[in-house]
Amino acid sequence: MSLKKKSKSMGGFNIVTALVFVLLIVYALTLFIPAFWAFYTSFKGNLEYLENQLSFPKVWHFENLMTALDYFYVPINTGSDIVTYYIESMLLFSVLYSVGSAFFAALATCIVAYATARFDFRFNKVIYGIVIVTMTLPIVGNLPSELQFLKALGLYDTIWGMWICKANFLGLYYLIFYAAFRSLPKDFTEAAYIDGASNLRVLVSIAFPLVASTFMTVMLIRFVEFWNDYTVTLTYMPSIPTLAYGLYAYSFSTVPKISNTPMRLAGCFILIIPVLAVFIAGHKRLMGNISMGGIKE
Amino acid sequence: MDFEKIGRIFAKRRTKDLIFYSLLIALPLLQFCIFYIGVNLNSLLLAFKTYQGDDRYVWAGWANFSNLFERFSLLTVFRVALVNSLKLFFIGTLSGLICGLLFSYYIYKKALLKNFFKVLLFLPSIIPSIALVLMFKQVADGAIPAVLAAMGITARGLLANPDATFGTIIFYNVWVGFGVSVLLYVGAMEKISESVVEAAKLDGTGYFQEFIFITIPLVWDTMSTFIIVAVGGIFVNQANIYAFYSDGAEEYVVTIGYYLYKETVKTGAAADYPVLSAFGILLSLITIPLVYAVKFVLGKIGPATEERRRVVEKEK
Repeated sequence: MSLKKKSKSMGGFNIVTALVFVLLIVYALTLFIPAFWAFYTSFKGNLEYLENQLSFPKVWHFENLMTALDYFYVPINTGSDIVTYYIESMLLFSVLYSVGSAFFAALATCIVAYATARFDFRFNKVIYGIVIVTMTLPIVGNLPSELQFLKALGLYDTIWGMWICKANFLGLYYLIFYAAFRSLPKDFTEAAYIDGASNLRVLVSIAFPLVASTFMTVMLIRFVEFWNDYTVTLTYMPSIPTLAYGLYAYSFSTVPKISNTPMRLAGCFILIIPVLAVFIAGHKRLMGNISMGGIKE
Repeated sequence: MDFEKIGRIFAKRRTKDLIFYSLLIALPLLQFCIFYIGVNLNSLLLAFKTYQGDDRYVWAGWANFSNLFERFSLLTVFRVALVNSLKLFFIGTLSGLICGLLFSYYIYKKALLKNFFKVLLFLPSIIPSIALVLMFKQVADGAIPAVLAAMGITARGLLANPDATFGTIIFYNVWVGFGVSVLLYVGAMEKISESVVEAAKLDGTGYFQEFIFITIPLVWDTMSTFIIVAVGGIFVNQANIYAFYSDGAEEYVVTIGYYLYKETVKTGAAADYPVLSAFGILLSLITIPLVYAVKFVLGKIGPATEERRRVVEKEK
């Protein structure tokens, strides 16, 4: 209690924070002013924009958003045919790719972390070593080889192939889960074992529910990462365009109707608005639990 | 007798545990063997092969490496890309680090609007980079020249002016890149014992001294991790250039990371896979010792924190 009070009374301004405050205000302005400009410009007509790039729209062209939606498509050459994917298909691909990849990536990490944190076998050291070494071992230029592997295994250009490809246990999130499982008191699981519960039952009914919150946080962070990744279509699944790839194609499209600043910006907001909504709803989970999950303790 | 029984029960449980443990890690381990060990070994082999068409590759010895060195001497793009990657690393990492630490200190000190700034600094990292880049492009080449024109200054857009383009790209990457680093720095700073700060205050330590002599040394490990990751990424970092220009970036903005990526995903790249793998191996041979050297140096010059002292004692 008293510690908390103390830390609060210590807070506030000193000479360093005052200077940083100015910097942060400048930073906030560099974010908000361009975003505000981009927002109202996306409702302008192109002629009006060419006349004056900075003014508010005289007539608000709300139909710009609809036009952007109409042109939000990707033609894919399948070899024998050209298939055009519209926003609904891209949305579906994005959901399948990002939810699936985030789930399997979090699951693989969680399971390996549980095994190594819960059971006392020598092989644990090997796994821990693998995680630490791969985190700092920079290997450059292995993408061609990865693509070759995916093609050989029949995983290239499929969504489920991506789920498998992304389901590794390496990296920071292993350490987070590891710490989370380590911090669980052993009494919970021991009591269950004495009552005759199997290993699987302990894992599913006791251990998993206790780290559910960390699992959701890690999954959400990975989800955002996969959702935003426009390169996945370019690199791994050329005939399965995601929404982010849709915007990539849109931003480099040469169709005259959308090759101007207001229309390009209108396209931007199609992608930004849903992500902002998710962020506003889930920012506490996205930004809070990660340190609670283990880095902090 | 009873002890034997208990022993048997434990042995049985140990075997059960071992089976369960093996089942749990089997699939993830297999995935690791294929997608990490297999992929990287294959990359090594690929560097010594040549393309024969129809996804077939045959042995070519050192031909890819000599081909690569020939390209180095003939094409200027490699030199430009190397310089750009280094610029991006030194300027981008350094300015990102300094601002990141200062911003984190601000949030840690619970100063005015700290939660608002925390969310704000995180925001760019959750917005799709392709959308953010697209917006930034319009601002840099549309709004900024218009603002300058309104003030009577005629200037080209920041990206349209070749002298400013790469600097603008570095700025963009620092500008959107605070998210996770600030969260982790704040996490580390919050672990600093208040008594240390209080004691320093009683000794008359000023705020600048506090920041430099107390805060930074105590988050040294977190800082080192970010520096090491940045060193490891020198030749991988494509700095969102693909989002800015697709595969059509002018030579003066190319980084090595962008070059490698662009060449790997272009149509008909399969023929170039061996040379690209050879290039990757050369770069890895430079980066791996570099990372470990930086790690060693950072460990040496870092302050002797409690944690590190404990580790050193343990090792002894």
